[in-house]
Amino acid sequence: MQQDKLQFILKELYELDPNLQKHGDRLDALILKLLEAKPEAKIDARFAAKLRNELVSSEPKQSFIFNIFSMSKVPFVVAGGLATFVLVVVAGYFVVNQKYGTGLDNFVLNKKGNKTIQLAANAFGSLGDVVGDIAPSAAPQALLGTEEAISRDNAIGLPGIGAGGGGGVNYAAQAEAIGSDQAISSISIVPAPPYYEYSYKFKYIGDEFTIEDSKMPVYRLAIDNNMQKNIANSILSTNLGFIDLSQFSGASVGSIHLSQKDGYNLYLNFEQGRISMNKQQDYYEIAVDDCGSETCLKRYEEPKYSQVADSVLISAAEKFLDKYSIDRSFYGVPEVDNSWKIYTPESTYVPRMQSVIFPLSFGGKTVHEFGGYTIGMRVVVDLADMSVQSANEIFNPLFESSNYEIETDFARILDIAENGGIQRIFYGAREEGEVIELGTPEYIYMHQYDYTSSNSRARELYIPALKFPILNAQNNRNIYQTSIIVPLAKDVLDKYDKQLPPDGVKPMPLPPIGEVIIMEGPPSSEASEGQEGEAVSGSTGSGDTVEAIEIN
Amino acid sequence: MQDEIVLVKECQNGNAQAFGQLYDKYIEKIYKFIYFKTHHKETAEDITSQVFTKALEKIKSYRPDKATFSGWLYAIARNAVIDHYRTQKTESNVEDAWDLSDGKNLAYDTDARLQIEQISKYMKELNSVQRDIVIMRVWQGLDYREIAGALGKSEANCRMSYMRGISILKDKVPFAVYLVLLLNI
Repeated sequence: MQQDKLQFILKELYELDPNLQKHGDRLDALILKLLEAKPEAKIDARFAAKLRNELVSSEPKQSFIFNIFSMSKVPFVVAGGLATFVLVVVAGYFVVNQKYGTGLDNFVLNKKGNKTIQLAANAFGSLGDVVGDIAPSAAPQALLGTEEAISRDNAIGLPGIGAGGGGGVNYAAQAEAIGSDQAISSISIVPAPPYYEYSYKFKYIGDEFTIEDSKMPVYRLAIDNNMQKNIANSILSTNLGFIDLSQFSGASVGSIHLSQKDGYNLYLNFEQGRISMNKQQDYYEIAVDDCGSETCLKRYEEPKYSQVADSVLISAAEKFLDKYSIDRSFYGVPEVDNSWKIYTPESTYVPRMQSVIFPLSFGGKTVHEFGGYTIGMRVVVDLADMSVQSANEIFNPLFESSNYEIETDFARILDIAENGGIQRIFYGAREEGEVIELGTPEYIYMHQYDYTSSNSRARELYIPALKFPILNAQNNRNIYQTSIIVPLAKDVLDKYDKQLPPDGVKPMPLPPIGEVIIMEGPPSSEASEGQEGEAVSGSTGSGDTVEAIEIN
Repeated sequence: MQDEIVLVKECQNGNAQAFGQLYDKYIEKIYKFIYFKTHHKETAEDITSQVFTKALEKIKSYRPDKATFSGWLYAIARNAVIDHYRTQKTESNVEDAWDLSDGKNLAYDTDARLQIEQISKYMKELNSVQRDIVIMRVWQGLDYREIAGALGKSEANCRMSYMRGISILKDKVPFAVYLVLLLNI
């Protein structure tokens, strides 16, 4: 690179003055030394962001409204029985309702680049109210081990048993591990004794860390209310002849479904400001039950797929997004969701649907659920033909941001991290004294639903947080998370402190996925037939011995 | 370029977000330019803030037919650095940190000082225009149109000043030093 620059500079100098060629050696040495002497001048990202905010929010308000329906490029036609909508959503052009700002006028959104509307501090209200109950109390703990707990796994980023959607879920391996659907219902009716009684200990072994800023922005996706009403008004003003839609004044459009023959279904959710899509599929009945022969069954057998390199999957996803000019300005470097491998490392099963995640990112900081799960645009690639099966979390990248007070006492944050974070739902440890090692944290944003808005519409906030990587997860079979996340907003931490019982909360152990516990009593006859494996004894803690069968 | 002109027009109409986009495009370049002339992080940050604040205030006076936006911004930056050192009144005729005598520049980053030490003595031999052109061309790769806008000169003038500056450096550096430089390469 240095040589290329040198040659370029020399060539230019010789063109300016050919006599300089006589001093080629000197010039070589001089220019190289000049290039080497260039100081390292890296701008401080925090300074740059702060200055930008100050400059952009200091400007006078906009004085006009730009409505997509006033654009001649955006017509839509309602014909007959509303069979067809031609709706051109001009990417990035909409109007922000004044209600969501603090006196900001309606704003024109430009097409390119990241967009943030700076609001006053604490504009989203108390974050403590937003997060609601944090530390689990004793009563909900009793539900752990039931279907509720299994579905809660979804909330913390673990694939739930029988969970639908999202792609990459290792249904077959899970079913194989668990045994049968009957085994799932066996778990759901079993009361929750602690199968693994020991709590993990968390220990920080990272570097010294300082939290420098006392305020950081919390982000929220800006939603356009006017668009919903405008689209509705246009529909309602249409004379269909057999119904007077104008009587439904005040209505607004919640969502629109567009269907493309041999293409995609497109869902425009105006309530949440999101677009998702999935491929049209022919549905047909698989009359497996009518099969009377091995040959017939083999026809319906899913073919085995081979693992495809991450780079190939990412390339397929990116090509798809480029084809539809889907804005990726708020997303970081894409990654393949290989979490399905964690649960069945020994299995050779490769799921047909594989997910590529484009992590949502603010200023280089990625967004995660509080369990560590990466939040972002998810593109599912079908290994059968390497086409894109679905894509979701596509939205117009306009965010509101509001500064909130941040906890700068790292010791307080560390205390929470070494107690497993603020939502401590973990499987129990197999042995007493197992230690989970936490590494040096990085700044991220934690995704949080906000149900507190007055119109009951759920909004989504992105709260600054620290992510502590779990360094020795591979040594602990029951830990499926890869990190512990602790939000930095003081509001949230103060709420956490108020809810903590005096002696702290102990996570209630759960059996890990892959084991079936059958209590004494009438088990399902189908569950008990044809299962192989060795019996493992466990204790309920009450002195009774429970016969457990491990499914291999 | 067309996009940039559209953005500038929108800024001039009061669209702050458009200014934000221009800011994103130029913040790093302008900061680096100022840093190359001040050798001190905090000073560079202060002056960078002043530059963009001024650019925002004066955006309505910018004329695309007179200079590129980049050149205009660099001109503001250059003048801001000159003003900074002149108000310090450490020495006369000081336009940036290169002009300060040894021992007079109390605000510098050690890393930067070590980096430029070997060429500092020779860069002082250039006048500030020649030095800025060397910085903008060799260190930042700006084209002559931008450099001309920054200095308020013609492109041809800038090319000649650049060539002259390099020649002076070539002549001022003793031959013995070249041997050392060559051996070090």
